[in-house]
Amino acid sequence: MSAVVTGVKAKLADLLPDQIGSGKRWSDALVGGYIMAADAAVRDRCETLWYSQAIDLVDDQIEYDLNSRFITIKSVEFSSDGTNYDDFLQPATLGDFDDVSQLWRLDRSARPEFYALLSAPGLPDTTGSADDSAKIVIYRGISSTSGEKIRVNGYGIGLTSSAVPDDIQYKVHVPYVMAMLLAHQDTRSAVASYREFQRGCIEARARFTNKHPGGAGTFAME
Amino acid sequence: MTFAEFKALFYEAVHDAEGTHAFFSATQVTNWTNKALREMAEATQFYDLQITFNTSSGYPQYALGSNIFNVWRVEVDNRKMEPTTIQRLMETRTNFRARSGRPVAYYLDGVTTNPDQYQIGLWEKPNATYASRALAHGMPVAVADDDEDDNMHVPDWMAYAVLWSVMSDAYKADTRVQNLEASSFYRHVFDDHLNRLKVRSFNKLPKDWHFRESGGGLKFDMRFNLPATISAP
Repeated sequence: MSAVVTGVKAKLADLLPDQIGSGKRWSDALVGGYIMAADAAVRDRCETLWYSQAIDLVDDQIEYDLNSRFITIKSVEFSSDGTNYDDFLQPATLGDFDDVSQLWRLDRSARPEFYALLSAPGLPDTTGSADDSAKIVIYRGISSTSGEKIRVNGYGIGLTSSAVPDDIQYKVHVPYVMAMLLAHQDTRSAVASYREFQRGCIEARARFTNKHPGGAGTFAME
Repeated sequence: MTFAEFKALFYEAVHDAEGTHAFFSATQVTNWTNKALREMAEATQFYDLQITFNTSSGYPQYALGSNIFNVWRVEVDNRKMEPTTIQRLMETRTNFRARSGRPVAYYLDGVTTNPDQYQIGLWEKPNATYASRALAHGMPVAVADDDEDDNMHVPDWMAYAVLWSVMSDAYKADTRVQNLEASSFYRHVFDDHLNRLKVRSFNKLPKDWHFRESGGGLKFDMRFNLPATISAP
């Protein structure tokens, strides 16, 4: 297990000896960027990293920005005191809200029961003052809050320092970066490397899902 | 990822330098990046754009802007508008254009005369000022050299995929580093990533839960409210 950028870079150095670094064929910045590109692809395809965001609820506000580290949302919890998350919000659509109440944007309660999503998770605000990121919409809003929070859970992308098992770095990160670096030099080799990455993702994913016979996250709901 | 970081990565990748115009100008990179962003947004509908506007008494049609692929929901005075068409209104409502009140429906046909300026019509035509909102599959905010420190408007985990599309265009261009095979490869990689974003964007909500289709009226069944046993009269 090693930090993704330093770990993958060391493995690439074995394949591209004396070619990575300042004044060499490939700069550290480029290889580091490609490694993070590979890591984002791996986090999406293998769903290896859980990420959570706690959101303070505000009086009469039903829309909240989602952090751009999310890839997908799996659950949303509610806490009335900001500490103990003792309830789940159910996923829904704006159309479901319409079915429940014509003026659902104005409905209020002590705790929200449902949530919907606008835009694909991971979409950031373009600037600090812009309001164009992915959002979560809760139903119902709270008219007078006193420390209530929701906690959004899902899969997310990692950081340059995030740890990744070494064999997964070999299986997926290294072939991905090799494919991107060498495509203009030997495209057939790049295609083979990319296929190796895709195959590696399938193997790695099997390790992180289906942890028990019921399958991760799947429960009988009657 | 900011556009400045993105450009730095691109120029490193093609062993070029911004400003020297050895192979690729900043204008080319900007154009190719915006092309990729728009293609991703149209194919995957990752951006739900919200447009707020106020109705004016007596005016049924409203311009929503030029950065829209399609409108999927309209609300007036916090109420959902039902989608309809002028054709249907003509068939079912006598003198429909003259009627005014709080709108109940919206239509899209017969209103947009400029393909770059999306418009909607409201029926009945508003009789007052109502706070309104349209939700659309929008085009992402375009990148520009002047705003290169802004975040690229694409999910963070897909930002690198834009690079593969730009690399494909760069290697396709007729320069000394033209490489059509590499261009095809990067395009294939971009398409592969695009499919991932389709999956994530179209399946935003978890599948482990059971929830209803949108629209179609109330789904409650009165039988659920009946007592378990009903005594004889």
